[in-house]
Amino acid sequence: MNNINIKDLLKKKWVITLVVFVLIILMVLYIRLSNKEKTPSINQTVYNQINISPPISQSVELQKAIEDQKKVDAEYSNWQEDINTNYPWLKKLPLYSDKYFVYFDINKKIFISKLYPKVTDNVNDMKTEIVRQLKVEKEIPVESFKIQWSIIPR
Amino acid sequence: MKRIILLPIILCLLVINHKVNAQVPTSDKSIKLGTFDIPSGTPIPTIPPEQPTNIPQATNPPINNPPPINVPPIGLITGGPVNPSDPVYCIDDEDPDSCDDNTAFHVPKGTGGVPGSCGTVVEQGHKIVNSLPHFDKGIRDSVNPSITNCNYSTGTYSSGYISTFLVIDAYNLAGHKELSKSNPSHVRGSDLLAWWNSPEAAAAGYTYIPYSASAIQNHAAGTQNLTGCTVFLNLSSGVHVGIFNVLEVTSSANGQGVLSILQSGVRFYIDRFLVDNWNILNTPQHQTQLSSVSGFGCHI
Repeated sequence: MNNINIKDLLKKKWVITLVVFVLIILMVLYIRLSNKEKTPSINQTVYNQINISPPISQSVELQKAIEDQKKVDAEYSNWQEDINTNYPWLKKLPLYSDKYFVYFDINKKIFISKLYPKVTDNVNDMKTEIVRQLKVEKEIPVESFKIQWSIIPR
Repeated sequence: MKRIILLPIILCLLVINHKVNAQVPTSDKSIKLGTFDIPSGTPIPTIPPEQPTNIPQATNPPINNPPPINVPPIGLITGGPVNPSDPVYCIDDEDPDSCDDNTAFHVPKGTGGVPGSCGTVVEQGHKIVNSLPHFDKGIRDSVNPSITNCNYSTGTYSSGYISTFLVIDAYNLAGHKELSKSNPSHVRGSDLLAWWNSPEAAAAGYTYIPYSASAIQNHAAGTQNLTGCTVFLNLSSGVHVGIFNVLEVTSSANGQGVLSILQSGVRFYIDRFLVDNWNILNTPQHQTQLSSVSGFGCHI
């Protein structure tokens, strides 16, 4: 009796269509649910692998290297700070033209002034002009330091 | 009729088959991601796990014909405030009172030099410097925003962006993928110097040029470009590094001018060193307890 009923039903097109439609809906739902489950699992896998992959000994070694370099950079930074505090006008140097080149030697703590005069140039005038520029234009306390003059005739 | 009944069953089988196949590349991808060298013990980079810094990629052929040296015109330039997009830095930017002195020197942004498949090293250096803190008095050891180029990202740092990180990042951003922030031999400056002198580095196209006056002179003459090279500076506690930015020549006859470097992890992200007779002066070691610049790490 049942067999007959099923056969009868299968003969009707609308029943077949309904079955196909329901199956397609089920498949779509299955795919969507599967994707939702997959997304966090990928992230979790990556996260775990990132944390696990470097051996512990490497991490310690890396940390040591970073700390060592921080100390070096700190030493350099302190040097920069020291220079900036003591010689804030250093960034305004060198003073230069085609006849002179003046800079401050932070080791000797003196100004190095190299003059390249032509035969027609007055060296004393050149020196006066350099000191004026340092004091007036650059606002450098040049009187607090020695100036070492080097005259190199052209 | 039977065909109509079989149709949904075949469809089901096809979907299941598709899903099984789709899982294969997913697991492959996980394995590749697992090889990333991200320092697990380093809490400094604030990089999300799904955004690793070292993304494997196909390496493009290196550029064998580097562009000619871009030597700035003779002389130094001065001026007031500048924008990040301007071709110069105002060194006063690094002071709390900002760039307000029109008589202070500007520092040109170096161009050309060490090439990579994704740009020059110095170009990447400028990008990173723009992400270092400006205007605030303090250590330039944070990065925000991160810089991304060539499938590589610096990540953001709230602190701890040491000097070697800038070099490593600049080279990677330019397309040179050999250096890694998770490799202690690259992270410690003295080890980085040793690495740059190693056969491994040489095989990958890295070169080391010991410091000498002639090296500076050759750069000025355009025969040996040092722009973008790593500058190794000896200190009593180790080796500090920066990136060779530009040499501004005031007198080529007397070998005089100013050399500038880019750096991180320190008080000033730009340092200017006087050059006289092609010798670099006023570096920490030249003037105090150190022996100054030890050399330049470059790449062909």
